[in-house]
Amino acid sequence: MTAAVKVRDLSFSYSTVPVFSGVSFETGEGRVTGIAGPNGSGKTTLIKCINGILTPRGDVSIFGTGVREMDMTDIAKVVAYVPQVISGGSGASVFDTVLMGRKPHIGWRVREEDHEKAYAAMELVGVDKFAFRGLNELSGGERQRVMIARAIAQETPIMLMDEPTSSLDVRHQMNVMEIVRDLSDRRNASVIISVHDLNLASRYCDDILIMNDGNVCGFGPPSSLLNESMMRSVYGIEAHISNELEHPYIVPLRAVGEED
Amino acid sequence: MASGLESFRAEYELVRKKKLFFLLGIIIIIVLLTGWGVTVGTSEISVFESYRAIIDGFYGRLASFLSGEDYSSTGQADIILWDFRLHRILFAIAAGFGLAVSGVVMQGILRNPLASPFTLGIASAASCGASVAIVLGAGVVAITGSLLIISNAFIFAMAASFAIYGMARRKGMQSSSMILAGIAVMYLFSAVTSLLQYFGTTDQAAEVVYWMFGSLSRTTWTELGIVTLVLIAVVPWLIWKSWDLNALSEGDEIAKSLGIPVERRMTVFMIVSSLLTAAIIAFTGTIGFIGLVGPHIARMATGSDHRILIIASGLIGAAILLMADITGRVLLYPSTIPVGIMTAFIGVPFFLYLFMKRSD
Repeated sequence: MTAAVKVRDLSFSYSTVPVFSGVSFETGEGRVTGIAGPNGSGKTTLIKCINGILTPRGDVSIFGTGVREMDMTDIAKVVAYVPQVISGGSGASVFDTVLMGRKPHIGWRVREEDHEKAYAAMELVGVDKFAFRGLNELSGGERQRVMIARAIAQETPIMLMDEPTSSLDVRHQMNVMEIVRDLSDRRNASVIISVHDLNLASRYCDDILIMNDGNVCGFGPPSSLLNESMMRSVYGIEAHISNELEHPYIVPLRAVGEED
Repeated sequence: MASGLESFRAEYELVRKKKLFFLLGIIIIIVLLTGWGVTVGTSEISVFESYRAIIDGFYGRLASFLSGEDYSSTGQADIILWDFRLHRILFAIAAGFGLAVSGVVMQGILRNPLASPFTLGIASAASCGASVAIVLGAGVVAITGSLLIISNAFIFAMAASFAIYGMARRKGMQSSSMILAGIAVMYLFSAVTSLLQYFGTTDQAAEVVYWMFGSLSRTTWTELGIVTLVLIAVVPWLIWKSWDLNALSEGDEIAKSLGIPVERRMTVFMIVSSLLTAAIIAFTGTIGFIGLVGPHIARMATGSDHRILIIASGLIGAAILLMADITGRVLLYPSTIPVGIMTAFIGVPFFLYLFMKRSD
């Protein structure tokens, strides 16, 4: 079966500063893949390399076609992106922002079905009640949900999410991860999501790619990767790992060694 | 779900109608200002007579054109309006529209509310080109007189936009690098203009200053035709590409993820909006604030969807420039205050209002 996303020997540098190198992994349809690792490990940059926002060395293919062979619109029809930093500076309304997710599929005129899809996406993440408010009038967490709604409205089989829960309270973190799981289970979407919260990743991701200092430290199901040794070598902490609801559950105990 | 969608649709329709009424309101204001504007002058003509002369004159000329016969004027009002006044009013509408559209495009692609043909140095390059023609009598094109000034202003303005583009391209076409390059260009051309004024004769320096005040008195039907053609060529294309502007306003990464070839689009938008500005200010001299304030007011009234924002900005720009030209002519009548000064007098209070509102 053709992988939804296949990454082979990917490297990226900002000018002469290497961010990551030798990254390889693949993910299939209907799977949620978490990218985890300490700050500065290259998670965000890796996400941006997958859909061509940045141009890395190495190969990325989407359903068997190399990203370099696709034009931007073709990529946008199959890959949606949720950024980590959301400015809201343009002053666009929530509805206009979510409707923009339909851009790869429409010409100048917006069809009735595009309005309906944008509305359905807003309703799914619970931002429909402030559809006509400006994005710049919302809190960081609300903006983050608007960005997720836009990605959902884009109706792509692959979604890239860069820390979509970073500004959310616990309830909304759960809400977003349930939506991610639902997109994967019911719509067969392949979701690649960078996460800081390893317990969220453990519970909701099928696979985790763990990065540190620009290198891959492991890739596989959470139960095979999240252990005391990995926590010590990657995060520099001593942790107690238990099993809760059939998922590894991490309780950080103390920092060990010196910070890099 | 159904009731939620229905109430959403009703609210959406209400918002849409509000925006359309706003556009209609601005069009009515422009029509009223036109009626007022053509009555200003030494020969007294009533507003009613003016409208009638405009409509009769239009149909008369159209009929003559279609039948291939020469048009003969129907009366004094027709001659005064069509030979002396109407082209200036229509030029104010076209120029105001074009400058505001240029501003909204620049603010959109650069994601900076202060971006305009002025803050990016395009207007100061045009002033420099005009100064070179006035003081040195030199130009890129081998012509003399007012045509030399116009061609120089246009060529310098376009050269500035290409210089900004060239510098920004070396930095990956980021909006911040474009703005910084624009500011550098603005200071450079301003310094050259000042130098030329310093070394020029008193008359030459005065002519440069007068050109930089901005004026619609230099315009004719021919120049109105040129600007109208540029508007017809550029504005429909910009409206057609308004989704791209919407996406670019959200940032380069978002735009790329929505399928926009960011660098290519930014380049084309930059050149097109510079062309629009250059084609206008080459004829009028420096007219400020329209490109800055027009889009801001339009955004407050109609939101930031460029499908409607471009038209709204253009109409507001047209109304402001028309208002500035008319008040400049009636305030100290029979003396005329140059329209470039009046736009600043009208634009600054608006700008300060927006600034104060923003800091709330």
